[in-house]
Formats: sequence, C-alpha cells, structure tokens
Amino acid sequence: MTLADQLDALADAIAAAGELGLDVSAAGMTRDIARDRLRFPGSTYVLALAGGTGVGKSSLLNAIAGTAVSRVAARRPTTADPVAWIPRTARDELAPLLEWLGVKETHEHDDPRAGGVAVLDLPDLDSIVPEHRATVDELLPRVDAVVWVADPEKYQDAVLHDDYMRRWMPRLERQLVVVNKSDRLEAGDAERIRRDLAAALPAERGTVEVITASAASGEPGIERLRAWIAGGADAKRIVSERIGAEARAAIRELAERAGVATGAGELVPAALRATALRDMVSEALALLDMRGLERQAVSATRLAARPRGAGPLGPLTAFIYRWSGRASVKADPAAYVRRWRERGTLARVTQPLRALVAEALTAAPPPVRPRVAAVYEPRAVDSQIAASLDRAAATPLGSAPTSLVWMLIGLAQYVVTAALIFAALWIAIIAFGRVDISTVAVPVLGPVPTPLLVLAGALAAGYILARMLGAHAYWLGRRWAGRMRTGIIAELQPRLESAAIAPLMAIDTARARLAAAHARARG
Amino acid sequence: MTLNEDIPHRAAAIGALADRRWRIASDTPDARERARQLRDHVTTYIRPRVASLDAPLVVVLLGPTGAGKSSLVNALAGHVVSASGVLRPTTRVATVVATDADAALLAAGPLQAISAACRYVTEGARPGIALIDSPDIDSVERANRALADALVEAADLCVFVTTASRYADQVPWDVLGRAKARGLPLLMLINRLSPSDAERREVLEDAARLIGAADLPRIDERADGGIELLGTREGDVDADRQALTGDAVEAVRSRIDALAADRDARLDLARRALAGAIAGLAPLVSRIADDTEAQAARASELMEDTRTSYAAALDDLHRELRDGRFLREEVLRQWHSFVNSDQITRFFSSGIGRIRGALVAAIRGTPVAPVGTVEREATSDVVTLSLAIATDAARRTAERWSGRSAGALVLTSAPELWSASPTFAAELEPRLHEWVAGIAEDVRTRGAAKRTLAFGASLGVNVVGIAVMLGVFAHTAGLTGAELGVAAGTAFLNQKLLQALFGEASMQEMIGQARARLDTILEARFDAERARFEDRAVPPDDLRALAAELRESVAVSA
Repeated sequence: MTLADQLDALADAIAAAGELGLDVSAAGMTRDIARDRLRFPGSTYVLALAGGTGVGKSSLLNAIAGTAVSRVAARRPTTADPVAWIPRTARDELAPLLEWLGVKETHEHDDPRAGGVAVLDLPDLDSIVPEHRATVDELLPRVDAVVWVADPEKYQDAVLHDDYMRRWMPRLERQLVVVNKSDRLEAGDAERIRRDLAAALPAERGTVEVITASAASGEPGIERLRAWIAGGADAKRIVSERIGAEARAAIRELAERAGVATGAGELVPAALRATALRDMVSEALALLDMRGLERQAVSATRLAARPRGAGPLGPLTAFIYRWSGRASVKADPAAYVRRWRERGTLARVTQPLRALVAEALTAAPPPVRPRVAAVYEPRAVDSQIAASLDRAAATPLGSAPTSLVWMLIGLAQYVVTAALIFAALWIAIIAFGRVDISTVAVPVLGPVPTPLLVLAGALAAGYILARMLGAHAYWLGRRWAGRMRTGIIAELQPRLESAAIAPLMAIDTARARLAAAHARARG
Repeated sequence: MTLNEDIPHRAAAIGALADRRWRIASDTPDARERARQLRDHVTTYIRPRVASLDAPLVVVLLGPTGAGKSSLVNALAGHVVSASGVLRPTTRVATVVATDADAALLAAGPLQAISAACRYVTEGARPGIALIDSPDIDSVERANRALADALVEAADLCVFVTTASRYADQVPWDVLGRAKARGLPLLMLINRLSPSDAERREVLEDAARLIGAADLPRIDERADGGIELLGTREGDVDADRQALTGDAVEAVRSRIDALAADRDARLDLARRALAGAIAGLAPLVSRIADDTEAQAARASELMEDTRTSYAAALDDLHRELRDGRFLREEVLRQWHSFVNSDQITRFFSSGIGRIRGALVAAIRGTPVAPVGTVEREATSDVVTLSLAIATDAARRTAERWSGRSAGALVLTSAPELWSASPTFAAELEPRLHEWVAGIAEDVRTRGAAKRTLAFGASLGVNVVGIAVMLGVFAHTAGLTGAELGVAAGTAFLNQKLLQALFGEASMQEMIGQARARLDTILEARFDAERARFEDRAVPPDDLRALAAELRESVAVSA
C-alpha cells in the first residue's frame, strides 16, 4: 500500500468520522502535518533524541558526534531548545525543513559515516519547566524517527511510558530505545534492565529494539547506536513509512471511537429496520384511513353509476346529490385522503422509528450517540414524514370507474319504466276511464288480472335492477379503492424509507466507510 | 503535654465533613484527588495524632523511583530491611520499621486503611519512631503512587530522597507541593551527586534555589531559614549495595537517633506538626468547598436541563390531549354513529326528532354502545402519544447532558437514558384504565343524586363514563357541530348528551375533575421518567449545604 493510499484512507476516515459527529481535530492535524512534511522531500531524515531530564540525551549526541555539539551540565534541566546536528552537505536541503520544525541551533559535520540524517537533541519531557515538554509535544509529531533515551534510574517512569511511549510508539516506524549510563551498572544488571524495559513497551507496536549504551565510557553501545542511525539510508522510505504509521494510528483512533476497530456491524439489524418500516407504513395507511377511502370510493362509484344505470330518475337524483354538496364530502376519495391531518397525529406513525433509534442508541458507542439521536429530531422528521404522507395522498387516484353493465342496466330500467307506465295507464283506463270496456276482455293470468301483474313485475324488476347496479358499483368501487391503496403504498413506502430509515442507514454507511478505511490502512 | 481543648472538636467536625465529601462521587479527577487527600489526612494523621501525641512518630522516606529510599532505610536501620536493586520499581509495598508495640499502635491507628500494603519489620527499630520506606511516586506502577500519597498524609516527618538527575522532575515537586500545603516538616537528601566538587556544588545550590522558591516547610528553625538539604555522592554505597554510606546518611541517622532518645523533642515535633497540619487544612478545605460548589453548579445545570425538557414535554402533551386530534377517527366514528343514532339523540332533541327517536327505540331498542373498543383504543392512543413525547423528552435531555462532561459520563454508563423507560407503556396503561373506571364511579355517584338520570341508567354507567372521557379529550368550545369533522361532531353530540343528563354546570365540573385526575396520572408518569435522570445527578442542594459547612469549618479554625 502506497503512502498516497494511506493518506486517501485517512481523508476518507476523517470524512466518515465527521459524518458520525466525532471530533476529528487530532486526525486533521495529523493529515496537515503529513501534507506539510511531504513538501520537504530530500535525502535526509530527521531523528530526535527524546527522554527525561538527566538521562543523557545531549551526552549521547556528543558521544556520537565525537565533539561537544549540545551543552551538557549538572544543573537540571539543561537543554531548553532543540539542537540539530546535520551533515554539511545537506545544509541547504535541510534549511526549510528545520525552519518548519522551529529548530534554530544547528551544528554541521563532515562525517560521511553518520549517514543522511539530521539528529535533534530535544528538551526533556518530565522536568518542572513546562515549556520543555510543550516543545517536545510540538516536535514529536513532526520528526521522522526517534531514539528514546532512558537510564537505569528513569527507565520505568510513568511519564515516559504512559504519556509518551504508549502514544508515540505505534505512530513511529523507525525508533530505538537506549538505556544510557550502562557504565554505572554491572554487566548482568544492564542486561536485566534492558529486558525489563523491553517487556514494558506497548505490545501492539511489535518489537522495538532496546540497547544499552554509555555516553561516558563510550563502550560498544555507542557504536551500535551510531550504526543504527547511519543504517537508515533511504530517507524517503523512512519519511513515508513514518507518515503512513501516523495515518494508520490516526485512523485506528477514529475507528476505535466509532466502535468499528474490529469490524462494523450494523447498529440495528436489517430485519428490525424492515419491521419498523413496515409498521410505519401500516400506521401511515391507518392515518390516511384506507377504510374511509374505501367508503368514499364506493360512494363515488355509486354516484357515477346512478346517471347511467338508474334509468329515467337516475340523472335527477345524481344531480340533487351533487348540487347539495354531499358528493364532495361523501364521494371524493382524493380530497378525503388529503385531509388526513384532521384525523389524527403522527405519533403512531413515528413510534416505530423512535423504538428503532432507541435500539441503535444502545448499540452505538457513546461518542456516536448524539449523532444517532439526531436521526430522530422530532420537528425535522415529523415534517418530512408529514410531507411524505402529503405526497402519497396526492397520488393521482384516477376518476371513478364506469362500466357498460350500467348502460345495460340503465336500458333495462327504461324498459321497466316503460312497462310500469304501460301497466299504470292500463289500470287507470280500466278503473277511471269512461271507455266502455265491457266488450274488452281483460286478459287474466290465473286469478290476477294482467295489468296488475305487469305493474308488480315491473316494480320488482326495477328494485332488483337497482340493487344489481348498487352491488356492481360497490364491487367496482372496492376494486378502485384497492388500486388506489396500492398506488398510495407505492408512493408512501420509498418516501418513508428515505425520510426515516435512510438517515440511520447513513450512519451505518459512514461507520462502514470508516471500518473500510481502517482495514485498508492496516493492509 | 496537652492540646488546645478546641482541637479535638474541630478535628472531629472536619473528619465528619471529609467522610461526607468522600462518599459523594466527585465529577472531576482533581476534585476526587483533593477529597481523598482530606479524608486520608484526617483518618491517617489528624485523628490518631489528636488521640495521642505520644503515639510513635511516623517518619516517611519519600521519593521518585530509583532515588535510593530503600538504600537509605537500610542504612538507617542498620539492617537489610528493604530490598533495593537495579530493576525499577524496586519497592511495591511500604516497609515499616518499628518495634512490635509501635507497629501494633500504628496498624490500629494511622496505617489502618493501608495496612494491607504495609510490611512490618522490627530489625533496627527505634522505640517511639516508625521509619517507613514508601514505594516510589512516579513509576508506571500507579498503585505505588496511591500508596505513597496516602503515606504523605500520615507522616509526622518526611525525608524526601531524590537524585542529581531527578531533582528537577515535575512529579516529585507535585508531591512536595502537597507536603508543603499540609505543613509536613521535611528533610531533603540528594543522592548520586557527581564526584566533581564543582558540579556537586552547582546541583546543591540549584536545588536549594528551587526549594527556597517553593517555600517548603522546615524540620526545625534554622539560622538561615532554609530547609535541611543533604547530599550523597555517586557510589556512596556499601559493598553489597544495600545501604547508603557517607556523611549525609550519618546526619540523617543522628537526627533520628536524637528524636528516638528524646521523648520531649518527639512530642514537640508532633505538636508542631499537628498545629501546622490543622493550620494547613484551610486551603485544602476551601479548595474542596470550591470543588463542591462547582459540582453543585454543574449538577444544577443537569437538573435544569432535565427540568426544562420535561416541563416542555408535559406542555406538549397537555396541548395535544386538549385538541383531541390524537384520537384516531376510526375510534371516534364508532362512537359518533352510536351517539348520533335516533335512540340517543332523542334525549336532547325536541319535536319530531324526539318522537322518531322514541318510536325507533320502542321498535329496535337502544343500540349497543362500543364501550370496550372505544375505551381500549382511546387509552392506547393516549399511551402512544405520551410515549412519543416521553421518548422525545428523554432524547432531548440526553442530548443536553451529553454536551456536559458530568452528564456525558452518566450517559456512557447508562445508554438507556437516551429513550423513555422500556416499561413506560406497561406502567401507564393500567393507570389509564383505573382512570376510566374512576370516571364511571363518579358518574354513578352523581347519577344516584339525580332523578333525571333515569334514562341515563338505561344507557349504563359505563357508556356515560366513556362520554365523559371523550369530553375530556375533545371539547367543542361553543361550536355548532354542523359542518365539522367527526372529532368535533362527536364532541358536540357527546356534550349535548351529557348536558341533557347532568346539566351544563355539573357536566363541566365532571369533565374538569376527570381531566385533573388524568393530568395527575400523566404528571406522575413523567415525574418518574424525569427521576431516571435526576437520580443520577447528586442533589445540588446537598452539595451546596456541604460546601457551606466546609467553609464554616475553616472559618472557625482561621
């Protein structure tokens, strides 16, 4: 994995962590420092000597250099400002880099064996002068390699281990630990201390080499240190590995805070989300009132059927129904659905989302919780869900269905009406007419006179036809309502999903992105 | 040798306050540390010393890891009593060099709380003096620091041991700062000085400068007013590397021998140390009072967050309940078709409507009211609405809390606070059913007093009760009911019915009472929800009272 990929992963992780509402200032700082450091390419890298006061950082540098580069004294703390020891040949190349680091005091050397490295003697990190520690904290993220210096007295200090090595060791590729002043120990003791210290180093970093040395006596440790320093020949690789390690550590820290360092499970399982969405949709349908819609649809269909299938009186009753305004109240499905706000509140619709968010909150690590909670910000979510309902209610519902059957029934009703009139006239003529009918034989069917029979038959047929029309319109109206319901659901479901479920999914997506960046950076 | 009469009382009072403060969890590490210091100081030093000035003098050897405390204690005891070695940290327990009698006194008194971490040895012990080799104060072994901090509080005299490369380390100076604050007499020994006279002088002068600037308490009055500062050279150790040698060690040893030999000097030192300690309590106690007040302020903020969110939530709930829209129309429609039937409307209509109603009632009888369904559905609607609002209130409160460090800490361990309690619905629902039953009971007692309720009786108490319940939720303020939706229409008819049954005034009173009882039920439930938060914050008033008492206790001693 190249450095560019690592930095991409870092940028990705920062973006994802930002979406999760995490504080990304530290990671952003890492990214900025990486960017700055890469502006100073060259064949020389920067190595810092870091450690407590009095452990002999300056003495070690002087021992390596073979001359007095950095001031050594008994009074503690001694070194206040970082001192650089650089190859004369790299002076021009290093000048801007050292300026960026804020190093003012430099000493040049012509020792070809020292390799392409600028060695920085840092101030102490544990004395009563807080400025020294601040300088160390400022420089450690910017240097390319570190030699941690301790001595038999200070090698288990909490400040060195807990405040420095634990944080910085995972962020460094090239580093070494030196136990100085080994001349004050017997040979066996030096080795025991070396092993004791090696065992106390942060485990996740892998092995960091620990050596013993003596600046005072110049025993073989100094040679090993010098060889180690000169051995890091390829400055470019050291710089890029260092930045890579920083990026990896920064990403890991973000991943840990987001709870995805060991893989990103979904905050709520897909099945729970699907159930919540289904519940929301069914509560939304109840609020839009699908049963009421059906009643309205049936009324509207019947109203449409009446002029066509009710015979001569149909148009009249339909006209009265419309003119009186009852049609718009009782037979207007579209308007009825649109008036859902009059019929209830969103509490039932949003309750499944609330329960889902509560579930996610418990599953989420604490730093992500405010972001999860923001998914259910009542004003925003309610208005979005209300808008979804409005849009669903505005689904074109089509006009009331019609049917040829109604025409046939209507024709039949005309025939029936004609028969009715005929029978009525007949009876009227017989009963009240001045016509002499004694010569006319009234046909008789059984005991009942035919005109009466025709009258009764026509009345019965008219009633049956009207009932048939009603039943048919009811059937058609219900089918229409069913189609409208399907249309509304098709409109509602995706909208509710994007208003309510999608924001939760976005958190999972961001976590997955962060986890992916973490996995990528680890390689 | 006696003490001022006042001192035992004051010690007891401050001790009680220290215990009280310690029992309340502090919300910042610094405040916790100070509360610990005070409690340790009172239990390990002030109380035992007030009880007996003649108790063994506690001399604590204190210092950073690798400074040579064990080598010094070995030198002073004249025996190898404490292991010293090259591996750091060397000492993980406190080694107490004391005679058996003194050790028993100490174990029952000052060292009671930390006796598990103490090792008692009698070799080289001097009667009347306990020499304690404390573990280091600055190694990766955090427990060592805690033990050393406790010993700082228990000591009558401190020999602070450091080295030429350590004397300017920050951590030891932090500990010395506490020794200074509690007025602990000090003797300082710098080990591993350079063999070069010039360097040795330079270091000793620099250390003396630092000590002078820090104004540390002295072991006794000296002409130059400076603290006693001694030094040993690198390599000043005897052959088997277990004990320090040299003039400085001799100086320390002779001081301790002198104290051991002279009971009056011991008592004098103990008395001066106690007086210094009591005087030195004022700054610590007032810092703790400050901590306590600051904690009270933070707790108040949390309480205020909680109070405002839940007050707003209750307001929302009341508003939603009043306008009745939360009842689903499906439910209302069933009730509407019942109260709108001719058999019911005849009770409050006149003329033809009344006759028609009587006729229909005679033929078909009174329709069955959907009492069970309406009650069930309406209460379930109330529960749903309340739960939604309670969830929002919990989330809003948690959001505010998570913006404050003390609140965020609580939420980390209690993620369930982010939403309403899981039993919310289960707890509220039975209360609401009791409420409806209570309304029916109210209807019964009022009905018994009214003869006009003959027809009400034919409807049944439960039916009228439901009418009252719906009257609580949907109340038409003078609307006609002609052109309104089902909700208002139902409310209108309902009201007409109740008016006919009870009369306007009585109806209003009944609805008002039912509403008040409902409000009480809901408020109780929301109070319980709010208490989930409040129970996790320390009551600010308790903290303020404690802070005031702390201040008062030092005002007395000042």
